[in-house]
Amino acid sequence: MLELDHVTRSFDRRTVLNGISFTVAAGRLTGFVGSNGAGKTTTMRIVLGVLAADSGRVIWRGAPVDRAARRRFGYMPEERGLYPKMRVKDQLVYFGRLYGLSQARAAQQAETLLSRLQLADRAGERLDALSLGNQQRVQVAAALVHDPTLLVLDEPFSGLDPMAVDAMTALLRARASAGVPVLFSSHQLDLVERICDDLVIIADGEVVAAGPVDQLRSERAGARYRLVLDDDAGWLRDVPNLTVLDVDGPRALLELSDPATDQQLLSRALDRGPVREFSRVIPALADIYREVAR
Amino acid sequence: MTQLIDAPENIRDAEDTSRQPSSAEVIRLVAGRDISAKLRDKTFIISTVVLLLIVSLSVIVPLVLERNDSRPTFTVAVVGTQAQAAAEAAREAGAEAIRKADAWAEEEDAADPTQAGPAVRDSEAVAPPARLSVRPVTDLAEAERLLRTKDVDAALVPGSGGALSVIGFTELDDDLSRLIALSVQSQNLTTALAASGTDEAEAQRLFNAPLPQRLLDPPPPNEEVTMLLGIAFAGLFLLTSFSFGLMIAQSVVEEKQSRVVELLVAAVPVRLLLFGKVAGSTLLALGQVALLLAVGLAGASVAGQSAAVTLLLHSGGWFLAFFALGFGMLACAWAAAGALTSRQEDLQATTLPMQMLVMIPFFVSVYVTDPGRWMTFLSYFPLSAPLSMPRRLMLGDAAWWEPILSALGVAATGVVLVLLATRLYEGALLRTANRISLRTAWQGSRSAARPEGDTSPV
Repeated sequence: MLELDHVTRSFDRRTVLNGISFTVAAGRLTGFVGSNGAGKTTTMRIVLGVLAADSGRVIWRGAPVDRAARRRFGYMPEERGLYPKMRVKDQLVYFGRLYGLSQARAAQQAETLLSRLQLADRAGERLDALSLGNQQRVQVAAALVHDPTLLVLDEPFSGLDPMAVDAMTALLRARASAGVPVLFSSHQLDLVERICDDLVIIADGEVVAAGPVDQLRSERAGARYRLVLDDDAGWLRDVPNLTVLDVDGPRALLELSDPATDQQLLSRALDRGPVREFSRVIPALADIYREVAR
Repeated sequence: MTQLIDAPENIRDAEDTSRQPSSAEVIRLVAGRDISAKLRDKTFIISTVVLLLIVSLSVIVPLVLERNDSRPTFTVAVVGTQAQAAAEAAREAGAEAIRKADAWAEEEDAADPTQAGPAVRDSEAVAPPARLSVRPVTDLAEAERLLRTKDVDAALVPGSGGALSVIGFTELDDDLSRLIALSVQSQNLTTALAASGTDEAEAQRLFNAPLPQRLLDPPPPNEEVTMLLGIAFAGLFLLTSFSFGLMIAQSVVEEKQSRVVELLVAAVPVRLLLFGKVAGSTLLALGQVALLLAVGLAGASVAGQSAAVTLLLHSGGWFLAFFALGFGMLACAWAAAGALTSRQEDLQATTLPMQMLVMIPFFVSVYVTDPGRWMTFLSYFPLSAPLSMPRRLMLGDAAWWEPILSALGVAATGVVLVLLATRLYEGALLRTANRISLRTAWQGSRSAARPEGDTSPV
């Protein structure tokens, strides 16, 4: 498990991270969301040791992280980059060796990854001879070549087509299933909502929300309900202690002034005829995000 | 990518097979990558081959030309037995002169080139060294025809009254006419002396007796070769440290521009990355210089220039040692100059101070060529020591401990420059502005890229 404990960082007296704390649990996909300049990349760089924190701690498996532990982290920087003129397999072997693998082990890992990524026949080619999509795959392979114990990916979905998004999702899911904590940042909230287990939202260098996605959503769900009847729902306007937000024939969206009165409303509706749908409206991630990151 | 849904291999298994790479290993890996990338670079290969060709040609061609030039070959047409005898005598005198000149050159080569030459030596043989071939013809008309068709260079014919005369076509070579004149005179004198009762062999000996010569202040032998080699060494140093220095800076910018640097910094300590890059380029540069020296050496021995060979063997090692130190001294600074920008286009500006640091000592040391206070100063000043100390060694101007002291000075300066450059490199490496000021880089290194809990040994 990775834990950030009151990490701060400023650049030229401008505070970028103001004491952020959150955890990335083993076996879970944690989405990291925030607007541009909120501090996502800085946080990830501090986790990887590319930048130093001004204060606060990064804790890995219960102890402050050191270089030996970081050597086992896998990282995909936001600014993608490998050596353009280097051969694909040589490149992966090189990074594998920098991470401490033996030559034989690094070569074996590179081959395995390339064949899984369907790039086995391109192994001997220079990186710049590959299409951008394939270069992105090699970048992923470079993050995975040493079977990392923690995976940190900065915007792994940016620039991917829908098929590649599915493949990347499967890949992250597979790593998480193997017990690896996975932290990734993204702008695509619908995507994060769909695939994440946990969520960390930061705004202006502070964590404004963190926890399991379902829990965050239900916590922020108010007393908003959707009601679908057979007949016109206009009579709801005369019911006390509720506000009708919208009525469209038999469909209505309303807000109770006291959520505990939901069952009373339901029995009242049933008295008037069949009820086809009565459900609490859980806000989408985008709504929560807009609310907390405002 | 769809294939990646299968679970990764057992993590535990990987953990067992990977371990913390040592600093030396990281440096070796980084250096190895840079070297192999360079050895696959077509531009680098072509420029090296061209350089080798230039060096070998510039060693061999002038020597071959010079040698042929000082041993000219002539054909002489002769009419009559007296002319033939005189021409044969001239041929032998010319051949003897060549033998003497060769023996003299070898004797000089064999002497320690750093010591002054012998104070006394024989004067040059009286006859000029030349290869003559004699071609008997029937009459004057035939001789003139051969002269006009340039089949012969001169004709020796009996003139009116039996005295021999030399005929040329449009001109007569000085050496050739002197050779023939000497032999005709010698023939005439010998005949006259024999007629007056003097022994013929004694007459010959008297005629060819050399005149001993002596110089009060003889110049060091091979002065020209020493001078040329000194300039060649300086040129080689300038060219190589310039091109490889620029190469280091370019490779740093390439890593910044291609963004690979963030991944590298996440994997290894920044200093090891810098040292690896510097080690790789220094090895490549040294390899190229050693290769060029070897080609020069081989060229010089093929061309029979044993003086140059002796000098190269004597001072080449010191030159290599000083080259390694001098290049290493500046290599880190080249890397820092590269880190101060993010685009190849701006490299010219950030490496300008480095270019000056290489260029100015070169011109000064090429200008100061005579032993003296200035040269002694230059041979100790760290930036010019790699250029001037090998020259003083070639001239025999330095005591055995002087190159060692000077090398220590270069090494100490190198350490200081490495420390400064490392800090700038660390501070500037992750900044992506087009140009990073020295001040920003200097202050940046305090917080960037040096993670807390960094337990790496360097």
